[in-house]
Amino acid sequence: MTYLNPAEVESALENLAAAYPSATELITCPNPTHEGRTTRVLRVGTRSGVDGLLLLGGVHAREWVPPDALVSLAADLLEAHGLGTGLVYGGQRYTADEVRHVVEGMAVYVFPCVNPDGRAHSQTADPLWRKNRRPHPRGGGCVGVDVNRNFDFLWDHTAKFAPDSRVATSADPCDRQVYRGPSAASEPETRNVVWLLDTRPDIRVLVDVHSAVPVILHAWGSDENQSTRPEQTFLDPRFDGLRGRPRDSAYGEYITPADLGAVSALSQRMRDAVKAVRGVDYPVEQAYGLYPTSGASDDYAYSRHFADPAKTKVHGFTIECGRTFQPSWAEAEQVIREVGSAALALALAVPAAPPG
Amino acid sequence: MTPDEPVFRVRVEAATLDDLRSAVDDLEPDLGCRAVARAEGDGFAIDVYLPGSRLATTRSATVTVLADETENGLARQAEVGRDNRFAARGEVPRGLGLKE
Ligand SMILES: [Zn+2]
Repeated sequence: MTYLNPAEVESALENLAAAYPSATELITCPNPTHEGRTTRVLRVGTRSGVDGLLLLGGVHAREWVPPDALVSLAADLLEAHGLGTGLVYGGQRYTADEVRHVVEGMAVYVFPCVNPDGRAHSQTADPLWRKNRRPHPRGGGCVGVDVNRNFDFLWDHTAKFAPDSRVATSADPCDRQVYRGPSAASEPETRNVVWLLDTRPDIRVLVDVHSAVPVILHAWGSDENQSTRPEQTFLDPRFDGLRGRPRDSAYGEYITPADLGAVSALSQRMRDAVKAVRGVDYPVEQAYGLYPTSGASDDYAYSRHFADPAKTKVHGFTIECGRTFQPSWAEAEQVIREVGSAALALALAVPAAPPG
Repeated sequence: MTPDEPVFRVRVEAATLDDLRSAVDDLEPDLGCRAVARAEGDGFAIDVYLPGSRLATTRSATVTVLADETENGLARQAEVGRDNRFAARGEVPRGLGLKE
């Protein structure tokens, strides 16, 4: 086997939908990419009206393993469900009952390749390419937007963050890595994810699978979490210009103890499920790492409910799988098993999470 | 279009998070997907990406070159599907989990 190219990812989803019509729905995203590619989402699940888990891959072009991992997971779930077997990833075993519980008791939305233009460029030209392929606004040489800085969460970092916070995003179209785009959700890849969340209110958890560290990240990425000052939130403009500094009391992103408990517990389930595969530890951390981040998918998913209480509360996670962007295929196979195991453990744990 | 200059994966290690942050501030590297430091030995470490011309030492941290990621990535491009293995509708993908 080798890494899937973008066309193979889409064909793989079509063929899975054709082979397992009663357990799948093939969803076509409404916004073609800048280079005209159409992306699809495979919903795995036999019933409607159940809780949904959305898995994203391929947001960052050079991170090659996640799209393959998500196609593998969808294929595993459908084949095992059809055969009535369990699933084994290294030392981690899921029973046939657990597979049935996931496929018949919830909906797993698999969106393996959010940014196919970028993946094609990374796989055929510049291997370390990260962004999408938006042409330069004035026909110059600076191409691309970082899709994971383009979501509508504290997107305008120069207004929202402290000037010395070193928030990891950029308003410069020539920034090779983290250009945030001309406006929030300007990119078709971003809008496809937003569209899914808008049209599928059953989705309660989003996992954006990236690489590499490895680590499992949960809310928030904008500032250090705090649970004692509920007025300090991304929504309040009084804190504009104060966000993002480490170890200060001027601002921390508010999270309720219940939500922090829920996301910590779900993260730990994934960590345990990864470790059981072959012993690799994916530590659990808050997404605010060395620096704050704005416009990322995980924070955006979780923030929607606060910005508009009519929307479903979606817990957002990022898995940084493996140790390098482009491991040998033999190593990639092991990372694919780790991601599959983590996603299945999370799917099994979601119904147990407090509805919030 | 191929990259002009090789990019190296580099490990930056420091005794404290503040030292690590200030070393990374100096180097202004590509921070990878997300800037996550991890506990390593008695201190902290992060893997970052730097072009060869900007490999540098810093006072507050140890910098170790791990790999030429451009060379690695160009070699890996040979491990990408060439055509479309699923072009025929009957070619159903199979996952890596054991079905048992
Ligand atoms: Zn990434």
